[in-house]
Amino acid sequence: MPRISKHGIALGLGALLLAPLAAQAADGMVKTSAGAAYIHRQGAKLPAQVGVALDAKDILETGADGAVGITMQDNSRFSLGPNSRFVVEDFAFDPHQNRLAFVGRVESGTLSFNSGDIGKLAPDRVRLTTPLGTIGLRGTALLIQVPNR
Amino acid sequence: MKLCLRPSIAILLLGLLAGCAAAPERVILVADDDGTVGRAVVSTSAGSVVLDEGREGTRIIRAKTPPETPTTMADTEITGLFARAIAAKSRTPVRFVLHFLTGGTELTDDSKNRLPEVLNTLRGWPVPQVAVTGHTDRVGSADINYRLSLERASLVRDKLIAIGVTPSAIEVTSHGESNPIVPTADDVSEPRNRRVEVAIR
Repeated sequence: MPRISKHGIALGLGALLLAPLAAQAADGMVKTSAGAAYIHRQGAKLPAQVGVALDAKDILETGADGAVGITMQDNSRFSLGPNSRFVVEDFAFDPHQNRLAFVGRVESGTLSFNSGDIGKLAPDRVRLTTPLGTIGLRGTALLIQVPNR
Repeated sequence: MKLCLRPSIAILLLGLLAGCAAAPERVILVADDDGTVGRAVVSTSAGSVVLDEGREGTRIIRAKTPPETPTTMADTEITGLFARAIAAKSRTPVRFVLHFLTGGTELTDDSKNRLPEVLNTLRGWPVPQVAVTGHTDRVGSADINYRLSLERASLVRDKLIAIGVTPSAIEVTSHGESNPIVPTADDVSEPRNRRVEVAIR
């Protein structure tokens, strides 16, 4: 008969307790939304309503009357004006495991960006790209416009 | 002979003109909510420019030329381009830093008194998330510090629930010794880094 040590049980319980914590923390959340605003996720198109979770690999899109504002887990924030498209290419915020990244691509339209804790802990791992350029930033706020082509 | 373009050719020519002189991309540095101005490096494959003053902006015309020399933009110009994006910004998160009495699981009196402020800030906050994050200094091993600060964060969560914060709004995490207020060498005792932060976002 296999013997289970006290230690093993404690670890098992620990894993059970920690699992739901890890699952509930989405990378970000929609905090403001106006007009046509959508999240494209794995082929599906979801309305970007206030309270909806946002995750790495999601694509945010707004229509002619749309705008949307997001707050990420590291307290960084970004928002899109009308006719805009933004891809969350990578996001990770776990300082204890040294997993830190915020990489986003502005494909069109207007973006307002305020960096958060990732920008403070590891500025080199915050990067925004546009069709023509790359922006590296150090703890700051930026506005980016990419014309519709 | 009359010079007359058929509509289809006119549209084609307009398209070509637009292709030659495509509208530029713009990147503008602005002050953060606390008034500080950071720094951004804007690059193409041909070179980089640095933005380090408020309202300083650059334009990118092509991927194969460097971004233009930065200029300071007028407020009206910025508002004209970005009014809707700026209006859509979510609220600036509010942070509370709580401290414990040395070696124990008891909050200092000052920190206890701040808990009602957390509740007040939550009132009227749209879809609030309450991130409770434990932090330690660098005395002891990283793994033990991770667990210690997770325990302390859980204690703060319990206190927040006790005063009426909705449990499902709370996320408990631990950064252990990896997210200090004051960076130090390993094994240095630093009371300012031993804390639990409550961020409302």
